[in-house]
Order: sequence, then structure tokens, then C-alpha cells
Amino acid sequence: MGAVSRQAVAILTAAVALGLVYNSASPLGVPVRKPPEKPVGATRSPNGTAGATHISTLATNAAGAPANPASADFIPVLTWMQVKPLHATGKILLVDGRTPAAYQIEHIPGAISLSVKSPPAEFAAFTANHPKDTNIVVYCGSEMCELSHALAVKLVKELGYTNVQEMPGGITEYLIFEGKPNPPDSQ
Amino acid sequence: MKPAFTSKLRVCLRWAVGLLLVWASLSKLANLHEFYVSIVAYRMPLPDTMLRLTAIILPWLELLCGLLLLGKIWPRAALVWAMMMFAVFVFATGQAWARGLDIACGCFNLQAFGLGEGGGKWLVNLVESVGFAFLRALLLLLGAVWLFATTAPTVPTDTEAS
Repeated sequence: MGAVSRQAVAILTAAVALGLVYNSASPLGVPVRKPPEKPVGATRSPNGTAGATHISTLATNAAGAPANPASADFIPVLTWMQVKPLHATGKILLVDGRTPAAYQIEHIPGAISLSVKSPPAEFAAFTANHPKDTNIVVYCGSEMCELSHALAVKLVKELGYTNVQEMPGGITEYLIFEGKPNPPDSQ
Repeated sequence: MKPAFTSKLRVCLRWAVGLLLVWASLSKLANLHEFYVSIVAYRMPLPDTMLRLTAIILPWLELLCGLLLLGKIWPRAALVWAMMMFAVFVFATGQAWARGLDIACGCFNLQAFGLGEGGGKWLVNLVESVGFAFLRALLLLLGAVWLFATTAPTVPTDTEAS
């Protein structure tokens, strides 16, 4: 094997090793394998661990809107296929919990941007515009991203919102089903 | 072309390719998930695990190759990987462009430079557009090929010398 070939193999080996180590340590990393889908109505506890499954009635109540789901102990989770019809009929407020820069690049059409790290003034504006019983679904990047969960907990615990749910699959799940994110200009 | 000019051009191009690779890698490493989403958006018929591994490994390959080119360490090996990456970028962006996919290329992060809001938005849209990405990848591929063809091999090993 020539010197260039050996060097190329060494570069690739280093890239693989660094990539795997960095990815495992990064909070915005990518699971090497696709995470198994959560059962409908599964919940996550506020500390971020995937909770035990319990079938909830959160996806829809008789009126087709989310029933009261949220407490400080459980943030109910929904899949995009559950969120889609509710979002299409305007029964929920979809909140993008990622950074404003990520929101600018792409977001689910109709979603508004509110990060857990947003300044207090943005939260004040949010609470002024949306009553405490608003049906809210928060999302961020993917299963690996905790921003939506942190935001959901904040909305419930600190701001007193009672109907907060989470879409853990985030924009990745949306993209897989719908294929096309919102263009940067539109909101 | 005069040898002196060619030499200067080679140095400039090596620096340009190296800096672009480093910049692109840092943009991706800042948010691997966003990069993975960008790859998924190309909708290439590849297994999901391969796309995930690409999102994990490619930024580091870019970073290492960029740094090696800037430091002129193993330049031909770094250029081999750079050519392969640029060829993949040309294919990926080209097929997306041909299919009319309205996606951001996921290549660079201009927000780090304060662009993306107000007056700089058009620049972000241009740089992130898939057509621009295709042309850029094509130019980079041509540049890397020329660099590889004109970069002298390092000191041969004993076995190679024989």
C-alpha cells in the first residue's frame, strides 16, 4: 500500500473515532440507529427520561382537541401523525423549541418560535398572547434533543400552562413524513 | 502559466479549500442533528443508518482534511478525501437540484457571522440554495483535482523508492 493510501486510511480512522466519540458526547448528536417509536400516548417525565407507557386520551377528546394532559410530573408525547390533523384544524399551537437560528433555517409551517433560553420578554409576550389553557405542542430537533421537553416543563411548571404536550420526534419526524420544511422566509 | 504564478495559485487554492472544509465542518459539528436533517432532506435512496453515520463522520473528515491542507501535512491524502467528498457533494446537490427539491444544502452556517436576519438573509438563501451548492461543489472538485495533480508526492518510502 502506498504512502498516500496509508495516510488516507489513517485520516478516515481518526475521523470515525473522533466522530463516534463526539457524537456520543454531544447533546445534539445523532443516534447511530433509528430510535424505536414510542407507543401512542407514552409520556416522558420532567427529568427527561422516557416514561412508562400509558395510553392517554391526550391525542383527541370528543371535540378533537387535546384533552388536559400536562402536569409537573408528566408531559404527554404525541407523534407527528397525531399532531398533524390537530395542527391542520388549528386546535393546537405548535411551538418550535429550538434556537431562533434553527427556526429561521427551517420549521414546521405554522409553528412559532420559543426557546427555553428565550429572554423573559419573549415569555411575557407569549403568555400575554396565549391563555393558560391553550393546547400547546412543543417540538425541537429529534429524539436526541431535550429543548422541547425543557420548554414543556417550563411552560407547565413556571408559567402555569395546563395543556402542554411534546412531539419528541421533532422536525426530523416531520421531515421524514412530509419531506419539505418551511422555507426560511415564511412563518 | 509561469511556475511562480502556478505555485502561488496552488498555495492560495490549498488555503481556500482547507478553510472552506474547516468552516463547513465546524458548522456541522455545532449541530449534528441539523446536519442529519439536511442529509435526510436530500431524499437519497440510502439506508437510514448510513445517513446517520455520514452525519457523524463526515464533519470530522472535513475538519481533518481541512487542517491537514492548511498545515500542508499529508496533502495528497487529504486531497484524495477532499475529492471524494466533493464528488459526493456534486452528486447529492446535483440530483436534488435536478429533482427540484426545495432544500437548504446544510453546508455552511452563516448565522455565526450575524447573517440570516435583515439584510443578510438574501446571502444566506443564496449560499444555502441547492443550485449554488452544486456549482460550488463542482468548482471545489475541479480545484481539488488540479491541486492533487500538481502537488508533488511527499518523500517516498523505501519500498516506493525501489
